[in-house]
Amino acid sequence: MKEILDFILTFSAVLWEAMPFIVLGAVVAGILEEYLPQQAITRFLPKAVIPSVMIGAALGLVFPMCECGILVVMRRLLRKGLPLSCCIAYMLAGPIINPVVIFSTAVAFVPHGIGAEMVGLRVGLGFVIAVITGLVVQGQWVKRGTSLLTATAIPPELKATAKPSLSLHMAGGGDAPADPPAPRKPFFTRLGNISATALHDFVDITVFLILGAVLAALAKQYVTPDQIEQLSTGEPFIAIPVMMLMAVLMCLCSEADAFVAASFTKMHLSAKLAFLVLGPMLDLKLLLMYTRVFKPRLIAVIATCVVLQVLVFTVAVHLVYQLNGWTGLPG
Amino acid sequence: MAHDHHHHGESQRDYFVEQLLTLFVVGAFGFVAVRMYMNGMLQYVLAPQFQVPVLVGGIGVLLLVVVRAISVWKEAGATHDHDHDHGHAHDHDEHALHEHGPDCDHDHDHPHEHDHGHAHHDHSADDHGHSHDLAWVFARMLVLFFPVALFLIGVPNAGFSQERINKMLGTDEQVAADTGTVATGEGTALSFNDLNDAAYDADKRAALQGKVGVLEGKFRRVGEKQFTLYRLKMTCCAADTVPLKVRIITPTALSGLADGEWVQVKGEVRFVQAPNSSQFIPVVAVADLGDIKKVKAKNEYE
Repeated sequence: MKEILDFILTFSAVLWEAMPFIVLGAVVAGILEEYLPQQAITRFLPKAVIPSVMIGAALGLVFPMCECGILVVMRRLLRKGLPLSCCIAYMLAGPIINPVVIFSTAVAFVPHGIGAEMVGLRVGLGFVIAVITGLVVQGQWVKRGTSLLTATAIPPELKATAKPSLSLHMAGGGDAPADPPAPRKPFFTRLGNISATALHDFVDITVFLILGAVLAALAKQYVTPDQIEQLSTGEPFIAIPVMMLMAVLMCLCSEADAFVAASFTKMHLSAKLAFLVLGPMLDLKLLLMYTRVFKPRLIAVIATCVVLQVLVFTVAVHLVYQLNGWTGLPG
Repeated sequence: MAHDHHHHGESQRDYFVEQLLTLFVVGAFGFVAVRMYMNGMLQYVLAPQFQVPVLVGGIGVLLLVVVRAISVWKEAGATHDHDHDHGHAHDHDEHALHEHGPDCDHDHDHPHEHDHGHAHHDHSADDHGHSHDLAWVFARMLVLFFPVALFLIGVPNAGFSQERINKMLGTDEQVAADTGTVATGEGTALSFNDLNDAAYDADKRAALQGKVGVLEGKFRRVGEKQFTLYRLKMTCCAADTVPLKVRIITPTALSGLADGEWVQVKGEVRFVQAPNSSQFIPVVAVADLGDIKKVKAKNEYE
């Protein structure tokens, strides 16, 4: 019975912490759906793939959101014509490269004497990984087109084409015809439409958040942070993948995970970095929420890209610290 | 795509069933969020700074439900009127769900002379970025109702079990520390956060070392003359709870205290190196066993 109550407590914690951000994301998505004309965003993007993906990765500075809310917003932006590669970059980097998370990371690590490094490395790695993953996804898009997306995520103009592949959706999307101006709608009509979209998105994402929270709570019944820390203390090449696994299982919000990472005081900076970069990009609840937007193939591509890059880059960081004789530990 | 103005009973029924079910369950979800804040249940679940957003989120959800309910009501009214009026042009209220404009995903093969206040069910349900497939609606509503059901049975209504806390605490090794001469005096209130932070900062250690302080927390025996005093720290939610520990060393063997009891300790702050590690751990050295008292239970989170 006590285990069940502990499970319910952990489940409730993951759910209710994320819920306000999903509401926010759903409302923003409803507003975007109602007010943003198709292809409006693509007119402002560079035509070249790499600059547009880099802009996508930096969008979190303008539209800050945590990883739960960002998925809802990203799906609507995708439907409004933002190229998939940019959407992926925004989705992955937005929860890291935003003012709130940068600030909270600094606050968590400055007392430990590694504030500037953690902020710089987290933002830098988050950006690079998001851009590279976005470019990989662009390659997949060129090859497979809309078969990567669920029906609810495919932009309407692409459903109409006989061969849903490249067509309107190259990065930049520049040649897509602009929509004719919409007739003015009464305010309550717009409000009704916004609420319809927002409620639907809220339900759609929250259902999978609940399922993800169940999985996370189950995982935490058997694995504690202290066990993880003891398992990998002093063994960086175990610590990094173990902390990555912890990030996937714990399902923390990116706005507060820095404080949790900072509490792993015996861990090297590289392991904590792996925790902080991977967590906002990929965890149990996000994996389930991704199924509402992406088909399994694309989820596998994103997950593989992200996991491999986090592993490689954080091991590289660790080696750099070792070679230079830096401790990477608080103190 | 042909535009059918007549609603076949089954699809219209499915649509309104879905809408009403969604409004009911999501409304209940929003209500639960507000109630959990108001009756204090969130204190077990979330850190204080994350509780108000749940209240705001719950109110936001309720507002969305109200707006949507009005839209569905008007839609139902317009549908009812439409069923009775055929063969002439008529104006309806605004199209609440399927607006016929540039964002509309389906084509119309006839000019529109008026807006329609009814839902369309003769086209792909995915055209507006969502599906009305009733087969999945009930399953989604069941999942969404799960947290509501938990609230109705009154959980969560407490923090973690002692067994879980013991798992979090892990095993503590005795430190090689002798009380020696212990500073005495009135003592200022100490915080577990400050002591644990200071363990990793040489300047902070120097500032606190040797000071006399008072600390309250839960007892956990480590040895005859050592025990851990701890409280829990919740950074954002219960899922990230970690214990904050301070080692207490006494001049003589201590008895009469059970694990989990609340205890107040007065003593001298020190920092010693953890066994087999270069890290420091905070320690409070007690001069006399009389400086250790049982106290009433408090909030276990600092």
